[in-house]
Amino acid sequence: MTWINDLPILTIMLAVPLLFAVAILCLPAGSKNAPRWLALAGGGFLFLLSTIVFFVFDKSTPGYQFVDTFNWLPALGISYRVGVDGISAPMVFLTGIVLLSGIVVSWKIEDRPREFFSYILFLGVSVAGVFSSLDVFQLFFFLEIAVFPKYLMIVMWGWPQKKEYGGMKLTLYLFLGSMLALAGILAVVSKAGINSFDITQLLGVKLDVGVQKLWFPFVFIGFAILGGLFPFYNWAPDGHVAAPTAVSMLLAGVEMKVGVFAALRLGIRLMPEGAKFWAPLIIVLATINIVYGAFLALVQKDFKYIIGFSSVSHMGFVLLGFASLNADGLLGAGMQMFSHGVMTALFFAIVGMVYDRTHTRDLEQLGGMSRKMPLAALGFIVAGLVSMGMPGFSGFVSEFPIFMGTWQAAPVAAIVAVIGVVITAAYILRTIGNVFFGAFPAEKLGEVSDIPWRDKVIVIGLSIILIAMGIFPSLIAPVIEQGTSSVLALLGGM
Amino acid sequence: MTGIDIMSLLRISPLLAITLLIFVLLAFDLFVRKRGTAAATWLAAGGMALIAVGTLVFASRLASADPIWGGLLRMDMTAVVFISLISTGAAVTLVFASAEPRLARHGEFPILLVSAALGLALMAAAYDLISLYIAMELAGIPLYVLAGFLIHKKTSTEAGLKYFLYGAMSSAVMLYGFSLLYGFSGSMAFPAIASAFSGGSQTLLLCVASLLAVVGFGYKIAAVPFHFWAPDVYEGAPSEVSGFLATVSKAAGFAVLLRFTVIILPALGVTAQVAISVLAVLSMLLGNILAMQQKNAKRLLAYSSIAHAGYLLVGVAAGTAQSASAVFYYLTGYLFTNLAAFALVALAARITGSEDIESFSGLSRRNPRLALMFLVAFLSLAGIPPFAGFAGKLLVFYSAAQAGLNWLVVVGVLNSVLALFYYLNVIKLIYARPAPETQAASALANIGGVKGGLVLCMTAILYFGVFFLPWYDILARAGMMLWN
Repeated sequence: MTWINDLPILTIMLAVPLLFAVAILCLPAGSKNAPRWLALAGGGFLFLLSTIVFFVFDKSTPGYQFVDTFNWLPALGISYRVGVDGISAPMVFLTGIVLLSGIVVSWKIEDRPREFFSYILFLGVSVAGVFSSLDVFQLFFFLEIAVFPKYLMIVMWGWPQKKEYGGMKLTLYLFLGSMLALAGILAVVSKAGINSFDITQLLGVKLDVGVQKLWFPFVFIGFAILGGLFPFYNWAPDGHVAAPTAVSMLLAGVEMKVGVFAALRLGIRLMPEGAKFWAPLIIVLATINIVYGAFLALVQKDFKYIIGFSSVSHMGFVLLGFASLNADGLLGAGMQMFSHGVMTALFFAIVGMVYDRTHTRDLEQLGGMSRKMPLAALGFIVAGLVSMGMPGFSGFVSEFPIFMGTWQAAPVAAIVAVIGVVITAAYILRTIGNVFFGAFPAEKLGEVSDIPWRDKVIVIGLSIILIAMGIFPSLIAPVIEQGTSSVLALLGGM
Repeated sequence: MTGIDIMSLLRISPLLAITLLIFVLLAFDLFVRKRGTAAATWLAAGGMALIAVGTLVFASRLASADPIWGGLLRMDMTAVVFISLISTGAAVTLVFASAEPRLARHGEFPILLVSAALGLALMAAAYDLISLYIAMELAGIPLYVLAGFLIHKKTSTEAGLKYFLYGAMSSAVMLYGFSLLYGFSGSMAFPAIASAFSGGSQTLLLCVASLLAVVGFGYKIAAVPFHFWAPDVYEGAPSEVSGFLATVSKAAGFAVLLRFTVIILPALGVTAQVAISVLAVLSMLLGNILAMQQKNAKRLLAYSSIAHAGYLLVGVAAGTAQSASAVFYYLTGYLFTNLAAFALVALAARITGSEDIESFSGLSRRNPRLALMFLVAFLSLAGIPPFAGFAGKLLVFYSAAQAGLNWLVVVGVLNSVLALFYYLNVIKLIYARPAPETQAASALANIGGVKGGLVLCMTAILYFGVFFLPWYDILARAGMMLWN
């Protein structure tokens, strides 16, 4: 399908939803339905093109594909340059999936729908833009665009008790992370001395080892803050709980991936020597993420906080995979980014569905939901099994390689991390039992209705992706291997 | 020394045009007698807009690094760029002021503003201590009057007086510095001063003299520790004048400061760089920390503008042609952003009857378009893409990193996190809080001009945030020429 390769498909994928976002903002103030349908069209378009990108991606050809470039500021070597490799192609696809799901489950937003559906498209474009950026400047440009939609969506439509606190905390933490990374990357680009922000050209420069050791933590840890790295994970649960459902899905599903993705692309790839030097520290922090995050999830009483902390725990696996710096670990991390993105989107979608109907997230008060919304219960169980790393589901095929990789790099960390899996099983089973089975006050249960068909489509769709990936990992693993192979080459034949 | 020929007249044609505009306005006020309408203000705005475009299109072709008029002026690209920016800023300010009857209905207002613009334009072109001093006073005196223009408002007269006292004081200190520079170099002209000190023999003396001179420049750009006037003056002065002070006057101050660093950096090297870096760090930190605690929108913008002076000083400290271009770019975006911010505050204050940020609560429900413009302006101030503030900040920080000032970049980015907090706080009030119920919404009249000005600013904020070219190439030329 060479004609697709000739189209500037990534540019179209970013530009069209952006135009939709602007168009929605220009609608008259009172409009209710037009914003929804326009957002669905824009999000659907992004989803469609991201699907094409993922499936047309040629895993046998190394390097970046669908590259499209345009001189932005030649005097300083800044260009607009998009393209995907095996690591970013699944991430672009994931963005399409989560964005479309988020739009559909938010269908019934009644307060200022014009702003809501416009901002959600801005957020989606921002994330997709980061995943397809091949220029450092452009990457930050897309990354920071997300500041206003994520903040405004939390404070405008979030959970009233926590929205202002959670929104500010999340936005400032993420901004802090990206700003530290910016300082690091500007230093790296300057030291490279080729007057170019082009990532592919920067990869060709062999940076001084001292420079790498000094600036790697800025870039990697800065970006990893976006991924919820210990001890900077605190924004994630508060922010996710404060956010409205769709925003939690997008934040935990893709925005956290943006952080770790950029940590890999600009941290490990540009500074492989720095990565080797700092890997032990990251392994320790990531292991704490896994175990401590899972433990915090175990002691929560709030349904949404459990999922919030579980994200912190699961993102630890991604970072652990990166820090192992070997083929298995990187492959598993790539798989985990995709798997966790879909899984956590499904989790948060169902949390939202339950909360909308029961108006409580307290585990003690919830119960018996499987009778009223059987499909949601089933979807939650599927996501739960993924979360526990059960064979046959995507979590297993992702976490298994991470454990293999970690075992080669740091056996102790692998052993400790397994404790996280055990705790995960405990909190997931406890949550499923408390929310979907057991008793719910009968007089209130009557008010609880089943989820509408729109939501059912999303639950089924996301569940199918998780199961398909678990049964046929070959759908995605070779694509990711195309991407990790170049990282391994940079790390020097490990 | 050259005589007066047609070429040297053509080179200063932008300055002559502004002078001519002042006379036209005087004559208009005397003979046409349209007092009570905003006609003179509109005339001045149109004139300044024409001068801005004309300067960029025609005067830029005559730009050269040779000093003219006996070495008093240098109409290089830096001067052209700044005269164009200053004229644009003056035109936008006049347009915003057209909706404020207490300003626009007085014939003196446009005359004073254009006079101030002439002084600021002259500052950008000054290449000699004498012409620089005259330019700064020419700019300063009308601005004192403008700050105190609302004679029936106590805070405004206080602002005028305060601005004047601080101005006189810093001017005196600066003048003493100038006298030292003259006394030990034997010349008033910048190049002669630079070569007199280039041997490196009188470093300590140059340090002292420069420090004294920088007091005057630091006052103009409102950098810490010369900033004390700014919050009170911005709060008390009419909002449109505050916007002018925070953007146009500051821009001219940076033009002078950049020219000055070209003279002293080669002789002082690291010492000067460290000194400017310290000013930058102090301005960023103090500006941002104090801005967090402000309840009045104009005071908040005052402290934010102090912090912005800090970011800009990062570029000045880098001391390269590239960093000069980056500072120019930053100032371009900042000009439109902050002019819009002050105009929006003025507009919101007219709607809600108060300049307290708390009173802006729920603005997005009552006036979504105004709220959206607030969002754009404040995000641009915070340095968020796709707005001009992001592009400018990135270019400045990159140029500092190129010059090896990585620690300053780290301080700068951490400060922009602090800054995001208080900008988001305002946005939160506008978007997420309900409107106070008791508030009477007053209808706005005669704001067609303001709307037009705001649309222009919004377009510029977006344009300079997304497209660098062709503006950056012009600025790159200006930066190169500045350092030649």
